[in-house]
Amino acid sequence: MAARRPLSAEEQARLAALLRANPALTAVWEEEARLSQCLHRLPPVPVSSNFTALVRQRVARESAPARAREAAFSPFRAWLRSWGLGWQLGTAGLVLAVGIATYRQHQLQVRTEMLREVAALSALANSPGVDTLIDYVPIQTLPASAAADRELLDALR
Amino acid sequence: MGADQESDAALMLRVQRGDMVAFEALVDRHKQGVVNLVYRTLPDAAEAEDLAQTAFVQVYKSAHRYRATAKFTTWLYTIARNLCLNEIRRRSRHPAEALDAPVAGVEGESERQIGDVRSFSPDQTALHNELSEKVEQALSELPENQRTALLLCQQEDLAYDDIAKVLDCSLSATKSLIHRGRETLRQRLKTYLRSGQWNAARD
Repeated sequence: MAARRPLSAEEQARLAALLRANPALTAVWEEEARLSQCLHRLPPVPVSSNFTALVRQRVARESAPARAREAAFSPFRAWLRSWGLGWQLGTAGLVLAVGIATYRQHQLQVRTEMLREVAALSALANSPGVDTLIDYVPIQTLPASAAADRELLDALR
Repeated sequence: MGADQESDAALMLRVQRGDMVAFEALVDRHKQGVVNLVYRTLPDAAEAEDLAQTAFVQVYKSAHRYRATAKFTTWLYTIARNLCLNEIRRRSRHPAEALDAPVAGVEGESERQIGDVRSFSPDQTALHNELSEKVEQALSELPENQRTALLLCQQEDLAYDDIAKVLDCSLSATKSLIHRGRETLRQRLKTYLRSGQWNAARD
């Protein structure tokens, strides 16, 4: 703490008591105090007398392109500003209305698609039962030639 | 109220409105601290001053981002330290290039301007040569974060909280950096600290 500010009278007294009780700490304390002095008393690095003027020149030089860019955009900004609050609110309302209409259209599409799928499902419910379809696969795998039909007839006979 | 009495935050609010007088007042107030820090990070007086100027230019260009709730010196030293670290990184990548080497595409970079007066007074020089050289040497051998923490603490009187913000680390880490830095300096300067030569030369 003494490295940051002078100690108060009370702190000085407490420190003196501590050092009396621990004489070995005295040397360490003195070194610490001298180190703080060393750091605090380091000579300031010389700064050129025109430092501030040089900074001002650099600011002027480096902010010139930014000002030019800003100037290029200023007519557009002025045009936007000239719109006024009424126009801005109107535009916001229009954007909101278009957004709501788009969302509703999307919902309608989703519902139509769902209806179509439900209709397809109900059509499937009217198709023949599983028993009817059980021989469907073997019949499908029979060869389509006339010789096969004859073989089948012979077999049935 | 003159610019001299105004707080840094009040001056920065004026800078945000483009007030050049307020900006110059801030530069005058803090140039010594920034140059001290930069010089002890990159020990070259000309380059240190150039980098310190860049730090103030950055302050002006980023003034719109400054919030009055933040302490100005914390913000300023953070900018200065980041510039130093960038320069150290750049030097490690291109060791042969000096700071004044022209950088393609950066306007005005080649027109580096040097100040007119930059020398220690005879009295300062004597002290600088005799004793502070030892301290400067010991400081320069510290790791960058320990050195910056110590300098901001001892020379610029920044609070630990503010130093932690500049170094982008926790409060306890900051205290640890300062402690370790002081401990290393104490070991390296033991002879001088025991003899009290510094005091004798100054008083």
